Amino acid sequence: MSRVELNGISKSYGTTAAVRGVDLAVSDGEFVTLLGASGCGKTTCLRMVAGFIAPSAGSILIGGRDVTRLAPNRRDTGMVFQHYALFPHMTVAENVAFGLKVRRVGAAEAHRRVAGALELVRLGDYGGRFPAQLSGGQRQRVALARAIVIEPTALLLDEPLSALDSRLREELQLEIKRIQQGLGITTIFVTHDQSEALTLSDRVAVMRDGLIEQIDSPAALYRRPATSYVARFVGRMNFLDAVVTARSSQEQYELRLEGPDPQVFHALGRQSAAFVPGERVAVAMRPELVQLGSEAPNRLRMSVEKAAFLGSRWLIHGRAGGGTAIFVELPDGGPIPSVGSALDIGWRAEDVLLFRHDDDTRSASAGAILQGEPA
Amino acid sequence: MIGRLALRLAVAAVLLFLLAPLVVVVVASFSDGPVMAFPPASYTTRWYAAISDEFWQAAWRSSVLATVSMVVAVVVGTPAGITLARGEFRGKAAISAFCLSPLMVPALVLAVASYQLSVVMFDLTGTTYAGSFGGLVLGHIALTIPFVIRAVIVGHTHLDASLEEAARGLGAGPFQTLRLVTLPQLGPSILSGGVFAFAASFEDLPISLFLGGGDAPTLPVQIYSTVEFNLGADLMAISSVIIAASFAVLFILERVVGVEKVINAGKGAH
Repeated sequence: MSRVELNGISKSYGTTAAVRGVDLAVSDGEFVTLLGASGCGKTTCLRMVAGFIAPSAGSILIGGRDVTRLAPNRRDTGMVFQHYALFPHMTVAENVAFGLKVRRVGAAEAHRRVAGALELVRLGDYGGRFPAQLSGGQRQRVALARAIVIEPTALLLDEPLSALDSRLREELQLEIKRIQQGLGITTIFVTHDQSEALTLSDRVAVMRDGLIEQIDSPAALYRRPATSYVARFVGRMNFLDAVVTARSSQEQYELRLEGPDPQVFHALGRQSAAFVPGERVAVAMRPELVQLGSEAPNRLRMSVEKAAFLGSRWLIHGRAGGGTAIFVELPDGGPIPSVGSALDIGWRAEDVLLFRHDDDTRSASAGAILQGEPA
Repeated sequence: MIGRLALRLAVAAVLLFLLAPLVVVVVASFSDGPVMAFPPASYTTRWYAAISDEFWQAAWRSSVLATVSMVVAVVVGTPAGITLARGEFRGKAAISAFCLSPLMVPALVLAVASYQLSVVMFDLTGTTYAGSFGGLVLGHIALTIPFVIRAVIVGHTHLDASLEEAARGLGAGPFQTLRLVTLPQLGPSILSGGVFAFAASFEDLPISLFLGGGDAPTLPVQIYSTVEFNLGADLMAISSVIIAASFAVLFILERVVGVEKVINAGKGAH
């Protein structure tokens, strides 16, 4: 039984609230990621679980035991840090053995477990080396071995891959997932990288301003984001302003886009909230779900401004009639519109998402363009 | 090209400036004449044999004094430095400045003040520390502790805080973390502080002059009082021995940890 529970956890520094009442339950063997921009409180949450920061309010349970007031060394967690935090004066084997040594595990058993852990991270022959002699990826493997060799109740990973280059990062993602699943160890992972979060996690908690905005499986998070913030943060998203004109059932809406070029749109499916006719909403569509041609449903005309090649696909930047920035993704191999041309685009009603119209939306569409690689 | 030549000339000039006095002393120690002569007319090694027992005894006394001062400075200064580096408490800046003040106050002032205090203490209690080896040790500890504190504070700023967190997370208590992770990380800084402490004590004249007993002088005091009467070649000989010993220490340090590391670790902002 190794659940990790955060109940109403808050942390304030003076008048600044870093974490504002987070509730999170990670079940036995589950891999949960705290995803968010810097300053959202994700690392603070993890460090409170580890015991390096004392929460201002709330309680933390690890394996059913209340550890809120316990020192870090009594919490039985294994932590991996962003910059490895290997002990430079110890060999790889001594680093991995550290947790066993302070637990007074016998020499023979410690030796066997260290060898096993190093085997697991594929560094069986590196026990005698010093951290300075290893590459970044190897160092983080050692750090991972050091964290898991003590068989902790919970594994805590604080942006462990962000110091590595992209190829190594993908490789280590797979390693972490393989080891985590193999050991069935309850894991909390912190990252600002959405693709990392989607790849690794059973569930992802998107954090914003010290609160969990949404917690869901990667697919649910991507397909049905609960807020426009999550929609923007996970993957790319187009946003248009609209007014609800009719609601024929709980999951069927008719909308009129705002701007000089009013278009009628239809949305079908469960939405983030219930909207009433006359209400202003933010309409959101994924760039890669676009359909081309004059027969496309929920059709718009966009003027193409730029076409960027992303490898397997093209990212087409442009503007809709009202001047709103629009971008769509097209698979490589198909026809690619030339810059300056007009393109008829549309989305199926099932792929049209509605969000409350708030200030967030405007910055959202701008932010989404700037955002890096989607998942 | 010209820039490089100029640089080399500048470096040569600095080296000459630093080393010339040492060379003069060493060469003069082999001069075959009753008083110091440079360059010597003829050469001899007899002055080394003529170094009086007083010098050897003073050298031994200074070595013991410097070693004791260094050990006490390391034992006291290391925890003090760690506390000042990481602690969050009222008056930290003031305490830090106070602990490091002997580095900024001329040793002569420290010496006069220590002597004054010993006089006050004698007036009040009828007993005091000046004029004894114990008193010397006390004075030299005040002189040497700041070197260790400063080196530890500087070393601590380069310490990766996540190392200690990693140790705590892996199950080590505060003292285990200190012993297994923090102190080994601070090793070069502590060593550096210790070396500087030893040197400061060994070469100190003012404090030894004021607090030492007249009948048991340290080596600098012995040399100083000898110089008052004559600048003999035996003085050059004992000076050469000190120079040789210093180089030997530097050589060992270089072999064991690397001189640069020690110097850099001790290099502090104050």
